[in-house]
Amino acid sequence: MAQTQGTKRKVCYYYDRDVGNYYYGQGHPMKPLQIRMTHNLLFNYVLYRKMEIYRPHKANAEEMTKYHSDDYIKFLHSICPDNMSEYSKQMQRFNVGEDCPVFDGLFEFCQLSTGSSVASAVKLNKQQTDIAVNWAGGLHRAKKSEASGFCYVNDIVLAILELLKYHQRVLYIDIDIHHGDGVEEAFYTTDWVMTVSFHKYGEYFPGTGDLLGLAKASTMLLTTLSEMGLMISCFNLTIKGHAKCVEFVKSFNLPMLMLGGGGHTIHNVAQCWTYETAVAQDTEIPNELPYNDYFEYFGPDFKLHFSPSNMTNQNTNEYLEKIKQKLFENLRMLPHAPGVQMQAIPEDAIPEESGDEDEEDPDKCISICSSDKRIVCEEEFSDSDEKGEGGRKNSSNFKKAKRVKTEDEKEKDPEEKKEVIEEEKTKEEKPEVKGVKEEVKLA
Amino acid sequence: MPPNRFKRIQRASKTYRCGNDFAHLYSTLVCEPPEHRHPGSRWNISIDERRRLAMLHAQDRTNTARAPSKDTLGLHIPARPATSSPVTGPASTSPNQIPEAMVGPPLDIMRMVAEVVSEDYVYFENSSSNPYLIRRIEELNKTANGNVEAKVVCFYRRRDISSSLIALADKHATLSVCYRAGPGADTGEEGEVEEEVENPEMVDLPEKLKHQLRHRELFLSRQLESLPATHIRGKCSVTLLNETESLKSYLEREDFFFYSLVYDPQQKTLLADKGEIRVGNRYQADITDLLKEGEEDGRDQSKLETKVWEAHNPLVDKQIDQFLVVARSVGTFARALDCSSSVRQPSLHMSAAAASRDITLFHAMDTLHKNIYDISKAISALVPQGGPVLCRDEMEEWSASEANLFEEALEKYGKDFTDIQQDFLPWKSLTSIIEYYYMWKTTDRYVQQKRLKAAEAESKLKQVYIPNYNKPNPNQISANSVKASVVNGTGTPGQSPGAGRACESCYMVLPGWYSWGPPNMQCRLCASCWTYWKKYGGLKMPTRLDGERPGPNRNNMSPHGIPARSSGSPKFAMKTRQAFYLHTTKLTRIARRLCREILRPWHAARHPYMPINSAAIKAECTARLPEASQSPLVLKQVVRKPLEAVLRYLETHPRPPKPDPVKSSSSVLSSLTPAKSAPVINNGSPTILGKRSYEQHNGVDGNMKKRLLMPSRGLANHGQTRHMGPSRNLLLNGKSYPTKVRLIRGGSLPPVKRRRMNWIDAPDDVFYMATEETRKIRKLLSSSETKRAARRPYKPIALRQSQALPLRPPPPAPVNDEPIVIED
Repeated sequence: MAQTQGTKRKVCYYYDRDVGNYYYGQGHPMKPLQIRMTHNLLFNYVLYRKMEIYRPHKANAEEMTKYHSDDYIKFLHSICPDNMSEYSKQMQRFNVGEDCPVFDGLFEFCQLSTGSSVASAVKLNKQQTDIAVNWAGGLHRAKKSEASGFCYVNDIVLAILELLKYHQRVLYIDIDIHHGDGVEEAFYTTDWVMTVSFHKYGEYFPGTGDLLGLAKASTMLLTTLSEMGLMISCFNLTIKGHAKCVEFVKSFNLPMLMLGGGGHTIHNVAQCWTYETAVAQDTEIPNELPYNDYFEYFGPDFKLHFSPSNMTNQNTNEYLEKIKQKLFENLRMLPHAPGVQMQAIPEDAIPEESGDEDEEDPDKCISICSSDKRIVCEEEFSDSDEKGEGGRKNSSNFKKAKRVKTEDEKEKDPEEKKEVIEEEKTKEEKPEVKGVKEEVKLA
Repeated sequence: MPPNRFKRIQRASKTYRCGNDFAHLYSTLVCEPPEHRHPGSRWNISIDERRRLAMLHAQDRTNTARAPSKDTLGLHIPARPATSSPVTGPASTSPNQIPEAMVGPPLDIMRMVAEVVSEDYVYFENSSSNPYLIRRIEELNKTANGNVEAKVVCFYRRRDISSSLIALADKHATLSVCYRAGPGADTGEEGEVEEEVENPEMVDLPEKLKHQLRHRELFLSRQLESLPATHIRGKCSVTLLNETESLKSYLEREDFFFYSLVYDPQQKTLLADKGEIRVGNRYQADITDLLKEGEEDGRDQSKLETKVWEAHNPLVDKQIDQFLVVARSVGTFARALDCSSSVRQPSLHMSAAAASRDITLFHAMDTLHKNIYDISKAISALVPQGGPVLCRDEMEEWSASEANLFEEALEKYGKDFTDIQQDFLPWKSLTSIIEYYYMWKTTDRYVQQKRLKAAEAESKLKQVYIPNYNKPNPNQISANSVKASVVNGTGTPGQSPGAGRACESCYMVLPGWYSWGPPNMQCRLCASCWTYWKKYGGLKMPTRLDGERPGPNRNNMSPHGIPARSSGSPKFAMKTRQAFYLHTTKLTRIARRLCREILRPWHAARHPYMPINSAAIKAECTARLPEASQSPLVLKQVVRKPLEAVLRYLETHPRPPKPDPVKSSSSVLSSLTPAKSAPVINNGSPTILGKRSYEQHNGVDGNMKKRLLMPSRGLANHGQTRHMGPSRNLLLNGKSYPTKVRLIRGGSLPPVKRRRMNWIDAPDDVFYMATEETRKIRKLLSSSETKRAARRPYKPIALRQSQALPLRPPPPAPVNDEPIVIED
């Protein structure tokens, strides 16, 4: 885990050649082809050679039922377009049908995406890599016994469960136009996994994921970064903006799993994933796209990056600031890391935070914070002492380093504002993530 | 994103003109993002050439795609400067940009209200007097007769939904906190904290803002309807209520609405439009335990994954590149040897291009890995015994006839690959068909098909221009319209309707009026309040009746300080807006008596909000009526003193000098009215049409007491038209008596006079001004007597002689007992 900064981080990449040939159905926005397009781009960008490449196994039903219910997986295993009529009742029950159609190779597709994510998690557990990438994974909407939003088997939950064997906490970051409600629901009552979802809140399906939901989920140590499935054209998020998140999370030098997800405009998704893989590798790649089998999809300019449309950023700074504040407030209510000494917090964390957030009443914060923690300590996490403290000994150093970074970023902000509207957004997001992290580190 | 929305994105559109008389809707062609470039013929050119060609084609396609917009728009578009020409720059695929480029000053659609696209929220007008409908456009379609029809999703306002549902919504919705009076709404575990955080904002919201906020709340429905696009009156925005957004921020933005609930107009139900995070072991994951130090997870990685490439290999980039060239060369040679390939790719050029496809390269990489990055071993693996390795993907595997079959099938079945496989290409696997399909999309053939499709999709519009709607609203009150100037015969000729009456919403008098509310109410709104009404479906200020309908508004001061009234008299601001009365029929009156036990009049009087089951009373009454007629009711004749008698009485009791009731009342009034207060107690509402102002009746002299109490002096200014029986010098309403009345005056018992009561002239606030004398008398009464008197105001108060102190001789007997009839 202790990676020194500066050295390139080891990246493992999971891909199965068949994955691009699954087809959800006519007019369905989910196109597994984007995974293959990404792969071909990666290859022709010569990024391929810089990582370890694995072909995943097909996850079996037993692995899937570590989260999902047996009857649901059994159903997914047996259903196919030919026998759909026999299963109409179950299809309704498991929400398979319209958005989540039955297509040929459905289960295999789930097996591959899950197999990759689980294998990635094991790889991270064994500390054989720093970053694992699985663009076929990230099916964040699937529920325990229900398909939802093109997602059938939630490979993210299964990967996180695997990670939790070795890591106390997992942070899950989700940048998608939709809310990653499947992951949030799976870990809603746990403090071991914190889910952060940046999505379009509004009439977009599923309508969950307001702040309350976010606040309810909790702490973490480790970083699982999953993301995307973004509809860039609608979200107006540039690839660079999106990748900033990768960059930021990566800067913590924590084990990281990058997953794909939905996506609607396949060439944009492929561009984005390619760029993010490059970011993970610390490799600069030219804007000119290399020739590949799907080159024609990237017209008319055949560039890696595209300019954002001139749509207005409805996320005003003010609004983001408000969310940030609310988040911090919510986070303060949370029990901190289970199994961690709590004494150090009042002196250290609070002044830092209140400085960060435009002068709140520091006294008030402290009292809420500390009282909350004590309660938690006594009641829920009495067994906490047994759980290790590994990896968090140098927390104060870590924090200082990060803090410097924040200030730098803030200074830079005005200069870069012109560049891309959406960049502001990403930058604004960062303090959230960081704030969260710091608290835990200190805890 | 549901698939249906996705489909919409694919639509192209065209311009056309709709047949409506006033509105020409222009749509522009929005070209579909030319996502796929055809690289010329496939194999006979090098990669570099293909690349260059692909780019050329892309530009070319952009051109052709945009060209029709010039023709079909039918407008004179000046030659655009070369810089914005699509030839030189990459085409904009954003629908927002195209209209900008096209809408130059020369276009005659200058006053464009909105450029409407699918998923926009818009105002629709379906009635001139009602507020706009708020709809979200799902689709814009051209109908057979050339009109544009919008398929829309309906949003409902609070006023569209039954009050019981609204109450329910307020109770349960998050927002309800702000409608409620104070804190304490939260009962959750973190309630205390949340109150601190959230409630101040909501509680602090002034009543006026709460009132206006209600106009911004909408209810989404799943209901779709089709409306003519010509009824679009502008754009607005609707968002899901966001708890992090301050409530005020919704008000600050114009045309901004929010919703949190979904309304089902059929079932009349409300639902939360939210997915929910469910809790329970059916939903959450069972967390795996953290392994102890040194504990194994039992995972066998060899079963989980197969390594196909090692990053830390001894080869440098250059060596790998060289090996890839070797692999391509082997592939080219293999194609030359392969019979089927040499048919498909007759030239070496084409074979080389085919051998450069990614599949060959991937295989080369795999070979390197398998041979542990030993290049010489890997090369020998590429040329095993029996000939060089040939890697072909689906693009190459398919014969020309298969490709034709596929295109035919695609034409017939669309992208239903299962059907295509079964009916056209049973010897191909489904995955290979899918793989081929995606590769086929990079070819020329696909692009040609796409052009054809784009032409077909013309009727699907993506964008419509709505020109400014400048037809006058029929509700607008024209300044020189006189036809309605005489209302009930009391209007001053030459005065336009509503003159002197302020806006029902803001109480200002500004030019530009719209009649509002039921026609007989003669209410009107100023232009800005009218716009507010149309957009938000309410009045700016909260009224007693929640601003939804016109009604009395007693307690509201003008929000703008001194009302800008043309008559210059400010005191009306606080006066009743509208007087009303209940006109009872004889039958009603009989029913009241016959069905006393059902009606329970006292109870009803004290509980005015309780509904009276009038149907039951009516039924009962009809049943009892014949019976009752047998034994006629003994109606107690109420001995009522005519007002004149009272006045006479009061006159004979000169008021005590000290407490000047006028002064005191005026001081009370002046504390309420912001400006000069000539006290008027019973003047009518200023907004009532045709009502004369106080000054017109009375001059500016403010000695109200005289006027009020001494009508005999010739200054009867009361709005009352109550008939008062013969009296020597009585004037009614400041007008001289009609001749008929004069004639009757001398008679001893004039017939019941049915004087038409002009309800508009009806008094508003009538109060009785007590003098020292009357106060003394009051003290003589016991509390029960006072109460009884209050409940039965029609009964004379009998003062027992013993109680009476220096009581004056009783007032003369009433001259006239006739009932007063007020007719509508």
